[in-house]
Amino acid sequence: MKQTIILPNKWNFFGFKEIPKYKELLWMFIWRDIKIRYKQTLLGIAWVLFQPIAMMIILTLFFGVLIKVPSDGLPYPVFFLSAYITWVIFYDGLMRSYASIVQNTAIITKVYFPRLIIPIAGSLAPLVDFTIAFTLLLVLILIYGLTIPYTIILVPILIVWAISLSFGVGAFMSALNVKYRDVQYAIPFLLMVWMYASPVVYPASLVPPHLHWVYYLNPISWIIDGMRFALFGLPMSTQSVIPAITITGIIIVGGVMFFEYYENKFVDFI
Amino acid sequence: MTALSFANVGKCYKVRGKDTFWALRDFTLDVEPGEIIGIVGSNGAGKSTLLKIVSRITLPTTGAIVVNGRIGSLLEVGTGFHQELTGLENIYFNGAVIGIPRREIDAHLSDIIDFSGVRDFIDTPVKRYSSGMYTRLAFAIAAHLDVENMFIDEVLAVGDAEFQRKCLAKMGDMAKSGRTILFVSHDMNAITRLCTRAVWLERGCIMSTGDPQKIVQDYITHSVPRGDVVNINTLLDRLPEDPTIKITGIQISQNGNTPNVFFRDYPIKIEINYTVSKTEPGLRVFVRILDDRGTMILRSYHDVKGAMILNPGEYTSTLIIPKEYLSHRNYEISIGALVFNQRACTGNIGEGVRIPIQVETIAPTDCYPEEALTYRPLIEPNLIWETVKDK
Repeated sequence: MKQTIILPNKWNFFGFKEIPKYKELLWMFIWRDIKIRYKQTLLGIAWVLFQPIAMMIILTLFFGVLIKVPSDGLPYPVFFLSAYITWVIFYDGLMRSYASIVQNTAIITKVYFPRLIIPIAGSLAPLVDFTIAFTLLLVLILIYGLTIPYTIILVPILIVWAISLSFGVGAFMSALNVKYRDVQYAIPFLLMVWMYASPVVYPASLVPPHLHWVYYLNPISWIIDGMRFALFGLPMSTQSVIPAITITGIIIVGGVMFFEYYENKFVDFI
Repeated sequence: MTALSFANVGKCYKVRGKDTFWALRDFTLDVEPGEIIGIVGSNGAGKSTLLKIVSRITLPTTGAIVVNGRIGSLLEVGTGFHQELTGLENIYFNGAVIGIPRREIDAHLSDIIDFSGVRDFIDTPVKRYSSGMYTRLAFAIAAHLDVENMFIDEVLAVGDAEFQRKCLAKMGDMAKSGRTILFVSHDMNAITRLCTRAVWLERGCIMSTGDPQKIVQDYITHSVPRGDVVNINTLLDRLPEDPTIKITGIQISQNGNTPNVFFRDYPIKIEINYTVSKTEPGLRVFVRILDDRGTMILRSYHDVKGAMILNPGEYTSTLIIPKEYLSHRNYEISIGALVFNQRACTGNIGEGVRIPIQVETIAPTDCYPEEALTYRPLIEPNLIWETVKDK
């Protein structure tokens, strides 16, 4: 028979080992997030397409036509969209996860389960939107008469990277937000700075080469460049990818450690 | 093997920086499989903290708990219900949250919907439900939670009388199936009916543990009643002066004590001390019992057995309200004196000294176990029935 021993607070770093037992609950959280996302909207799921299309049109007019930002020889719309939908995986995942613990106060104060499930569900939920937006991108690529290279098989790896990163930051921020609601004001700034520090609206080739070592510490720069390499064969940076991977690892491990450290105190602080 | 074993469990909260507050202290208890433990205590006694600790929602500050078997906690009904989701969608989500596997829900879906009585609205978002429908659906799901150890907090304190009856019956079934239940409630009837043992908590500490009827009686007797404690002497001082009679003391007691709450299961004794300064024919001491809205239920005079002239002197009149006579509700006892057909000696007729009392029941009647207050009769005497099968 299953035995549970409840002891006073200690750092339960391996609390996440319990998650497989709560797989079903994790799916339910993701399912619920998707279900309620576009409830009581007129356009419903069409918003998933409308948002990237609208952004693409606005930014193409602004950066592509008016400012004439270079796009490494690609049509600006596909150049932008390929980066934008990738950035949105990270952005949306973080937006959903950082507030998730506080938003689910009602559940957390009434039922036990490994709390990490909540930010995990938050960072996985954007996958649905991404799949739809990615299909749109592929259609657009074909419309522009470009070919889809075999390197497209790299895309899932890049997505896993983006989701893991957003999960790591999200786990950290969601735990911090329990005690300090400052997080909800800081996050929009963080995300704005992060987006302009990544090659979303402009190509990385615009960044002076002597700064590339700093620029490519940012994992998102690699993920977006990787996306443009996988889909359009654009060249990758000659910098080493190791520092960015290491930083991702530190963010994930640090985020989870921080989360697990505070997990048992959530209910007392919230 | 015990189902639940608590050893010196305590929970301390920090209040504004340095101050500490012990919500629960040195809680030690062993629970055998199949026991239903009722937890009683006033607000802030630590009941909910205890349930939260044993449900792993918050951690204890001291001590240890060993739980054998799976844990299920029902600290409210409808945890995780989302307004935008339909009834059906919420069944699956809420089920997952409280720990019912999806295949169990699939297997019992029809039962759940029937029990809740919302079949026609199952595809409607729950935000359009009435609060009754919402609660019934939530309880119907919770009733299908099947784990060895259940921790339940006041779930029954919702819904109308009919639905509460249904819930109690369901709880009884759960109990009979051998599950170990920890049950917090303010409903003393539910505690005495369902529980095999009770624990009385006060300010974080165990006051006593044992037979539910005994514990409930102790708890009710010692707890402060609703409203203010009435000082009878102050009321007596406020009586107008009368040339003939002066009431000097009133005691309302039960079993030799003067409790805050009385039980209908024992006689209630009312003693009235008074001084008569001159002989006046028709002088009578009365006791009236009023309901909580001030309607007179009954009236009785000291000379009910036959005329008794009160000559000058000091007197004590004693009235016994027999056991199993009053119902379990709030009353007012009005005590005073009058000169028959002439005048009232203690303020307006029927005024006298009015003392509110609360009457509870230890052993709830099996016929109407969980009646709402409004269904309770004004009096509930033990009438004599006999039923014979003629054919």
